[in-house]
Amino acid sequence: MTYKVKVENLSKVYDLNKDKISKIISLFTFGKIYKQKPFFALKDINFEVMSGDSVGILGLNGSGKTTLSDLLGEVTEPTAGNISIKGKSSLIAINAGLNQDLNGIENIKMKCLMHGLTEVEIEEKFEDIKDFSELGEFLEQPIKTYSSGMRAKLGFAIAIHTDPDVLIIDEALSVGDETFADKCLVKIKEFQEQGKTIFFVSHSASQVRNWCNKAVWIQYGEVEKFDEVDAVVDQYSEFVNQFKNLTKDEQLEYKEKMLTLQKEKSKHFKINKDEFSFFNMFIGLGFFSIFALGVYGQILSIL
Amino acid sequence: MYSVFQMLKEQWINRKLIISLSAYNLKSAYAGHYLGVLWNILQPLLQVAVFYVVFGLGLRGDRGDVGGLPFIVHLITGLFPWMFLSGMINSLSGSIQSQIGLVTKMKFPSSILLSITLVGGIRNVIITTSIVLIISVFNSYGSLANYLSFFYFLFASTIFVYSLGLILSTLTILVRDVKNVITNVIRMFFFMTPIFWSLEEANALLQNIAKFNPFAYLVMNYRTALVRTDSPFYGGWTDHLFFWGLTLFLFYIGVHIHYRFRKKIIDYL
Repeated sequence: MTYKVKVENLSKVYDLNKDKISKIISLFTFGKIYKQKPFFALKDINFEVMSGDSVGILGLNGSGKTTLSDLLGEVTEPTAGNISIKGKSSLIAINAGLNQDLNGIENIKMKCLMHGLTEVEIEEKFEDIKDFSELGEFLEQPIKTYSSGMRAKLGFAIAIHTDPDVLIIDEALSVGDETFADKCLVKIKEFQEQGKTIFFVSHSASQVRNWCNKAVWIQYGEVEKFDEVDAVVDQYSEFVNQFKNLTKDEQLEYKEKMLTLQKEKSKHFKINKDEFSFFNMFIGLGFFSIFALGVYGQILSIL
Repeated sequence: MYSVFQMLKEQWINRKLIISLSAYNLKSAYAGHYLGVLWNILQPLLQVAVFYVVFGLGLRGDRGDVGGLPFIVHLITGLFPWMFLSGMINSLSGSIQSQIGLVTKMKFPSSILLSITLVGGIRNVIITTSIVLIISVFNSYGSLANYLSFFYFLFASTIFVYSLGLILSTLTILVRDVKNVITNVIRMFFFMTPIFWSLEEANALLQNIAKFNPFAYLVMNYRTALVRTDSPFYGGWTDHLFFWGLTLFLFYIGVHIHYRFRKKIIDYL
């Protein structure tokens, strides 16, 4: 069987250099003069997922789960390495962008359009989305009056009806109540039977155990373990329990230590700078000389 | 050069999406308003009224016509294109920042956000222009050939504001202060552009400065298109060369800056 999602040597580096002036200089010198302060959010991630797999992504806060889900959803681009996804991926997050001023119905239509559905497809799916969201006549109210649970429901309802091949759920279900979560579970099971791939980001080990058949545990930007769900969850739970037994100071100390280690590893990394193209510069100069000619002509016409 | 074609292709592929999303933009802008879309006409008319009182009746006194046209006609043929240009530069430069919330968690080309804003602006300028057109036809100020050159104005100004928008929308995200700078620079250009004053009657220095002002070129083209009969286009060949040289250069720079930063924009917010 071939893979559905393949992640190879994936790294995401953020630049912690907050200096605005150097950013502007970098902008105008095509990145030639720039001092970096790289920080690995993710480092050398490798895994392969088959179609029909549901993968739980576990990890503590700040370990890089959301960064990974953004990358899987093709919202951001990796700094190094590759992600190959066969098909369309769709990311569901708590803060899925909805237009606050528009009402639910308009938001459904607008988001579906943005996800690339046609008017006809939207007409077909509208009733399903409406039913799934359980919002009923609240759909005629503007989104700004919704509670966070209602927003999550609507966001979820829209995203799973856009017919993705790969679905990434970033803690979106932790806001909905259990009845809604159960309903989503049914839908997710349906997806699993259709052979779709699902990523499920959570810190809750029990949820991952129930819903997934595989899991990946990310620890400070690196894959600690990728395996069948039980093996990973057992080890993760063990780690969390151990961690909980530590005193407050020891916990802080541990986090501090891991973070410095992460920073230490980041130091030697160089972010690839963009290729400098002489061809582009040549064309740019061409346009500039037309402009310069225009200025010259204007000056002549004044004299 | 490749990215220029890629940019144009992106807009073409998504043309239907752009049009329908701009309708939602309009809806969301006037959500909860009683007069709704009517503000698109009321807003410019109210502004014309204010400027007419201040400049027409106040500053100018009772000096009568400007180059054979009543002052009010001269004013609206300057003010309407100006409102389009300045409004577009303001909203385009903020368009990625203000709409990024909608697309943060999805794959969506951000150059389309600019086009959505632009379509809204074009719709408004067509509405205001039809007011001018009615006045002009009624008093037979213009000719058909001139009226048609309105499309030249629309084309030229669209490319011009889009180019500036590409540059400024990225800069605004990197450095927030840019937005304040834009507001002030635009205000300065308002007075340097022959909107409420007439280029022909102006001091020679002001006329020379206007030669290097792309806004003056565009506004004068609009005025020529709608209320003049002499020649359908404004300006000599050096004016055209200056404007298009500047615009193409800005467009080229804009496309490159946009592509360089579009993937990183989310990281900057």
